[in-house]
Amino acid sequence: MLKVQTWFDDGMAQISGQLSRVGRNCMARILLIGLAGDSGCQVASLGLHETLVDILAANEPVYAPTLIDVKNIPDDIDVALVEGGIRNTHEEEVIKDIRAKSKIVIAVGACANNGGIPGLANLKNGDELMRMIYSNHRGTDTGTIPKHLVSLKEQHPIKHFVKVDYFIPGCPPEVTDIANTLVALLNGEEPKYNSTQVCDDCPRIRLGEYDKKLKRINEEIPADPERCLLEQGFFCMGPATMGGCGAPCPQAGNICEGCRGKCLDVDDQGLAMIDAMTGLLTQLKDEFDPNKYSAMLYRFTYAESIISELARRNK
Amino acid sequence: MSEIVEIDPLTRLEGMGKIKVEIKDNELHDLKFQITVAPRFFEYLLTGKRAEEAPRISQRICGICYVSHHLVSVKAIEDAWGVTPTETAVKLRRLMNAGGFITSHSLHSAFLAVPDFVGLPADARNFIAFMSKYPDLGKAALKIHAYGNKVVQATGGRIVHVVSSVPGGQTLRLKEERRDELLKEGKEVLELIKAYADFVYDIYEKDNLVCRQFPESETNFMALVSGPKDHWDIYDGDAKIIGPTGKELVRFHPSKYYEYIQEAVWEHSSTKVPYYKPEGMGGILRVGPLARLNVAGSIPFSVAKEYQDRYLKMFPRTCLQVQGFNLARIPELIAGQEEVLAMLEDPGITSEDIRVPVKSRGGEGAAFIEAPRGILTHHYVIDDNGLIRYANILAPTTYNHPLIQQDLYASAKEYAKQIADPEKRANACWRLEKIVRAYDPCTSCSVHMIDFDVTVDGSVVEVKEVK
Repeated sequence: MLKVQTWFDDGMAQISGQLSRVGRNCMARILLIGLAGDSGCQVASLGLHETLVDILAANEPVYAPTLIDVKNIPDDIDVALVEGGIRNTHEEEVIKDIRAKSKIVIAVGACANNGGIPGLANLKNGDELMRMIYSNHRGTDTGTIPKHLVSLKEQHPIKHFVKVDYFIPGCPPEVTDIANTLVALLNGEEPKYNSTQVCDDCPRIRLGEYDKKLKRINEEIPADPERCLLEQGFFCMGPATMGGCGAPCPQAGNICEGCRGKCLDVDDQGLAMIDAMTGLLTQLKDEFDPNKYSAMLYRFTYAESIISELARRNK
Repeated sequence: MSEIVEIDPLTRLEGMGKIKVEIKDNELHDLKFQITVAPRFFEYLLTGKRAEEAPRISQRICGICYVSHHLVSVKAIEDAWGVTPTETAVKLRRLMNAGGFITSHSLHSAFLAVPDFVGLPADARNFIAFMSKYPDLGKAALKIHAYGNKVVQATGGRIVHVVSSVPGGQTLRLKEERRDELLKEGKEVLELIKAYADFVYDIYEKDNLVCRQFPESETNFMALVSGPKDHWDIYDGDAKIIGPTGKELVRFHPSKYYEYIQEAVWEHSSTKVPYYKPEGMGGILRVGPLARLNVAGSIPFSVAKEYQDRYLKMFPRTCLQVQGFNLARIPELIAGQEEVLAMLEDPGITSEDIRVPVKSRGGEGAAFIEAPRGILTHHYVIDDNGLIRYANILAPTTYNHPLIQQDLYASAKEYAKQIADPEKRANACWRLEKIVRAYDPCTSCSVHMIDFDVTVDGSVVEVKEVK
């Protein structure tokens, strides 16, 4: 049932073909930058290997601190690829500057799009976090808290500050999505979004019957290696998550964490998951405790969720 | 007359940072090294989560050494629960870890560091230019990097941010066909790595001036060692600390790290800085490739050992030179590849015995692993429901931080005149950037860092009031 490899290779072969046709004909000024994130998106884009070098060589990378030594963000950028969210005022200034100078801004990856995993820290207020990590932490000297912080109160997706033209979801984003989006834009076309859910990509078999118990992945080995993990009682986020990744996680024997965020035209990933599970939840009503599951519904999207918006309003 | 020169942002670096140099009458007045990546509070956001989720959440600390975070996290939980993973699982994890080393070291060497040393013009010191000057080597570097990715994908399920390690073992088996493919390609890749290694070593062996331009600092070093002869080991072992002369100071098991490592907080910075507790805040520890080669006995792989011997002709047994980092990465890259091949050749690697189910329970555990940038520690306290109540993470970049500043200060002091002269400035600033680059700091990995605002004075790290 492991199809990841061929799926990936086929996709790449197709894209390389397309790129070699377009890449050289049009010259675009490209910016690539990482803000509050982990550089994983840029590493994922290196997965394009020679294709990436081709794209960069055929176009004009005008600002990309990880790759080239240009120190100032230039004017007249055609395409800005932005990884990472916004956590401090410096990043806020940078993203506003980029927006002012760019024709197209693309949010790459979960942090830029949805706040990402760092958004989970938004559940606690900033001052308390500082005290907890810097002064009340075993193994750390006590008594000093850094005073020069210009942190914002929360992790934000970049759309909270500037208009975002296109997005590439995922943690990490799929190299095929990065390439497809660039190819479409270089061709003067609108990039297409995936309108499926992860389950559509997943080869696991669904029978429509659910186990009456929720299980933890370390406690039981799924009895049927070919069958849907959610039906077997493992909390897989596939139904509420945008497809297009090829479902590598369920295929590797673990649950989908929901890293690609909500599906197209859905407002809130966690609510969509609860909605998807309503049938199952009536069976599980004694066991499903929202306190135990809330963070799992929004691993990557808490910062943009409706529930966090309500919490912000009540502060 | 006072003048402020800023290198902003530092380029060819993981994450964002800058250097601010103040020159007064051709003398260095002040130097500030700032990291502009925001803290993301992973130690808080792990609390309340199910322990088995930690390996997948904590790897989002770093998009380059995610494999290290994923594996050390699962090892720490297994330590807390008193669980031993299956033999096959350990082999698969060693394989994945070595794959991660190959991608990270090849990325740093070819994409970030080496373009500085191959005579490229000042405005084109980058991989794209390197690739057009040396197309075969450029392609080889990409192939090496891609192969590391393939190993990670085959064992971890994805290229970046893996999914397969759970307490008790692995969820993904390596099938025979995939093993055969990887083994066949792996042998070819080892030859490519050797060619790349020869290219890099030739540069330095011919012109060791490039080494002498870098500062030396007397510090302690810390790395993992295993076996009776204190082997180089990147997956498991005890931590060993040596002094600047190579003398062993202490060795300890992960469960004892609190007795030897303490983290300092500086009022005007928000990184935490770990130090060797018995020596107080001056007990700076360096970690990473240089520390590993200084501390460990030898590399237990034959080809890597040959290159380590070549390295030892350029540098002393205990090397204090910053440039040593760039060159120590080369035998390690080869060792990573040889470990991959050794694991793939092990007939047990394709066994179906990849994991045992384990009950979630309470406990406390800690574990070490060598991330590409140095020793990485995760420590968790887990409650009876199997939820994390406390997490502590010590990332390698934080150890090296005081030294990066100290080395920058020393170099800026020496070249203050050139920095003050607009015509010679670019070259002098390039020198500073090369120092930072040699350490390969990962600013995203430093977890709780932002606005690093300290003054370094001479050999002592001193925190001054910032006006």
